[in-house]
Amino acid sequence: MNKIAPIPVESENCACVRDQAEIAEKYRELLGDESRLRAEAVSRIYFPENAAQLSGALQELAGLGEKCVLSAGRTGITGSVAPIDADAIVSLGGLNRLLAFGRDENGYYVRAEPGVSLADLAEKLACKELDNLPGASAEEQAAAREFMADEELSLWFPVDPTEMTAHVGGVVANNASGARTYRYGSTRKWVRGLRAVFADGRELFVRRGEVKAEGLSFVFKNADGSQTPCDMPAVVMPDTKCTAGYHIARDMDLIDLLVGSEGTLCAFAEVELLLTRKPESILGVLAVVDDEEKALALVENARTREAIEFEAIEYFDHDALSLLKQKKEEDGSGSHIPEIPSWDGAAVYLEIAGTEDETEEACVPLEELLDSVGSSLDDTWAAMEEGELEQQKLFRHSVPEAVNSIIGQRAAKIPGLHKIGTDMAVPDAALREVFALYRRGLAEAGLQSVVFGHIGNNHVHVNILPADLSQLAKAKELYVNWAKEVVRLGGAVAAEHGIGRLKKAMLERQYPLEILDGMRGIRKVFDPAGMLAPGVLV
Amino acid sequence: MNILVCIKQVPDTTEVRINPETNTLIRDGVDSIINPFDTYAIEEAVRIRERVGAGKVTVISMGPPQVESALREALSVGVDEAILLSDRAFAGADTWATSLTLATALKTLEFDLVLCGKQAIDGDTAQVGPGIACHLDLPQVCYVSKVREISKEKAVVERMMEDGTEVVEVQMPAVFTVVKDINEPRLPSLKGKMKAKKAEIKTLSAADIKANVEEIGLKGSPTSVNKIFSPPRRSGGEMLEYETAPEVAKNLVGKLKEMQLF
Ligand SMILES: Cc1cc2nc3c(=O)[nH]c(=O)nc-3n(C[C@H](O)[C@H](O)[C@H](O)COP(=O)(O)OP(=O)(O)OC[C@H]3O[C@@H](n4cnc5c(N)ncnc54)[C@H](O)[C@@H]3O)c2cc1C
Repeated sequence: MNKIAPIPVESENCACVRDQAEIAEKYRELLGDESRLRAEAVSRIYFPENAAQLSGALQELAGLGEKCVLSAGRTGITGSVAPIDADAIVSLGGLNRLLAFGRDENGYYVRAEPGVSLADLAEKLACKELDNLPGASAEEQAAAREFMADEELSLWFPVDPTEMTAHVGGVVANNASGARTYRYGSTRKWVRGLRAVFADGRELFVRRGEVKAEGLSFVFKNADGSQTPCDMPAVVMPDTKCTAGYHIARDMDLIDLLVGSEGTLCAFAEVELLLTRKPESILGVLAVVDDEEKALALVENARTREAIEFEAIEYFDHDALSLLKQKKEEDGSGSHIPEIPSWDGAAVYLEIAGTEDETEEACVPLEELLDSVGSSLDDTWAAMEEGELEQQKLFRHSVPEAVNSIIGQRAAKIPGLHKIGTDMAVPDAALREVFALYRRGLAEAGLQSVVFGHIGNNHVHVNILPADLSQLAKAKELYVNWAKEVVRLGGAVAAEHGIGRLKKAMLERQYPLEILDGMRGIRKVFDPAGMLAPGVLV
Repeated sequence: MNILVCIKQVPDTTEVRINPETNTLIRDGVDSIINPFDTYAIEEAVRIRERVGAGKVTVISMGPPQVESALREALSVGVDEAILLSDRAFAGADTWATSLTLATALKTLEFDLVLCGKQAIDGDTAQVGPGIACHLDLPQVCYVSKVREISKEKAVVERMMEDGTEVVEVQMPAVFTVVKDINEPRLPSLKGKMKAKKAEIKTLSAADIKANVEEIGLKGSPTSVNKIFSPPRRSGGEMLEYETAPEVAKNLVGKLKEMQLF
């Protein structure tokens, strides 16, 4: 049960670009991700189009003793796909077929190659374009036909990472989450199965439940038939959203270890994701409250109200609203930022879903909830139609966009300047304490900031906008100090963006050295030569 | 002050697709929205009511039963009442018959002001607002970008012209069509949405408004659309790229001469 036994693959030749001029001209953007971290050059880029070619690329690299990074949608913000210290990039965007749609006793699922984007997946499910899926069994084909014929049934992948150009492989490799993680959890729990290709080119198709650790041990079967024990360190993981280091638990499923491994343990050649019914009706409500204190009270009250189950609870502090207001004024009448009920105070976005009747009935307890913090149904912006909900989503996303645009302008004058964006979560009980920590630190350091994000999960992004390099240094110091405190509060230093290359110092705050060594040990079992993602994660 | 706002439900696209055989709009698969210009008329009506401190705002639309969703949307942003003019006899109306039908309905209602959007984005004619004013024999001000003063007796408004702004004093009741510079429509609150869901929408037929069926709908339409097409796209210009400005200028003059434009 705890044996990880990959099998050899009949590999195929994989297309590869080696010409440096061509790489520099045509594929420059592959040298980094959404973080500013980039490599100057790379000796080769592989473009596999199926699992056999992916295996072929990895086998070739193994034979040459060279190292690589696996790259997908490159929307990551921790620099993990920048091929620094690596010889090659394996770009997985060409593996972009939806392979199958099926149903079992646990519900519906899709099987997809890793390069399918979230946008593509959402569109295929919405338009029910699921005929002739190339990897579907007869049973799966029948399930797809049934779904397509059922006009009443809508399905979605409920974890809604914001950036829809991310690929499902990247989403699984990062254990991404989104606003609706408040209700549905992060990606990990929605992964049903994986086709993992390891550094030596062998592969394993594994479904949840098939390979489980005995206590803290797996056993890895090597290509020569020998076995290597994979003993995991005894980690007490934070009881929050967490993407800091490998996920480790006693008797854990192999899938849970591979999800969130950031391209360091294997490449996913296929991922199987569970789907759930899309609610008939969604109600998005942006409520404006007087100040942060009221917002925190609103969140606490919302979490304990039994009458309503929220899908998402998101926050925008006063600075975030002011920034949007300023952007709106600058953009003039063409601005896509609407006039919300008030720009004074702070805002909390609450989402409710269910049948039409259920969302309608939720209005009464919602009114009580808003009343409890001195706000009212009048001080809200409500959306129910698809277009309106889309407008609200756009509004929510315009905060990081506005931050990036300001920082971009500043960085044009001061090279090396960038924002500091935190990604830490704490347990429910520490919500107020963590806010007090952030506010104290920002005030003492005199730094410009905006605070927004997944407050329902006590996971807000503090974005610091330094004015110059000395403020940047201060901001970095502050971040490290916060990380120490967040760990003391039982939280995670990385809740959704992962560690990559840029947050390794944070991982060192999360765990003691022996745990990090233990994580390096896991990595060595799967990839003894250190071929995959050198310098990433741990 | 009682204000009537005439609104139209349109397909949510500026790139309207046309069925080449029937020369009619293909509405399938396209969401319906309130004509964007009409949302400014709705907002201005609500603002005037709020400013004056009394009266009511009523939206009215001629169209099939599904127009109800547009009327409810209007009710969610501060409108007090909604009326749907729906009857088979109204179908196939051109701008003349549409404005006559709306005007006929308006005669049965009490009002001090009628507001319309400057035009509907599906047909772009800008004729219905002025048409209503003519049929009712009321003063009209088109392209209103600001309401400076307003009372039951008279209003002072600004009209947006191509080369400036015209300030007009007009006797009430009157018909205004508004441009989007006039305001920024508010977002619906949850309270507004709930009110809109529960509100009753009054439906009136041709008989209810005592319309002469010979004068409305297809029968009452003196015009018909023979053909609709998108104008051909302009081809991209030619870039003249040379090392120095004098070289560019010299070549440009050469080209213009060649084309006998210089
Ligand atoms: C505007 C914006 C908003 C964002 N919002 C969110 C958010 O709400 N929630 C969130 O969690 N993240 C968010 N992110 C971060 C990012 O979108 C996610 O981390 C996403 O999961 C990365 O997917 P990707 O396809 O772009 O992967 P990449 O950036 O290409 O790669 C990310 C990591 O996955 C590995 N990887 C990719 N494919 C495979 C594979 N097939 N097998 C093995 N490893 C692989 C890579 O090696 C790398 O370590 C946001 C980013 C941006 C720019």
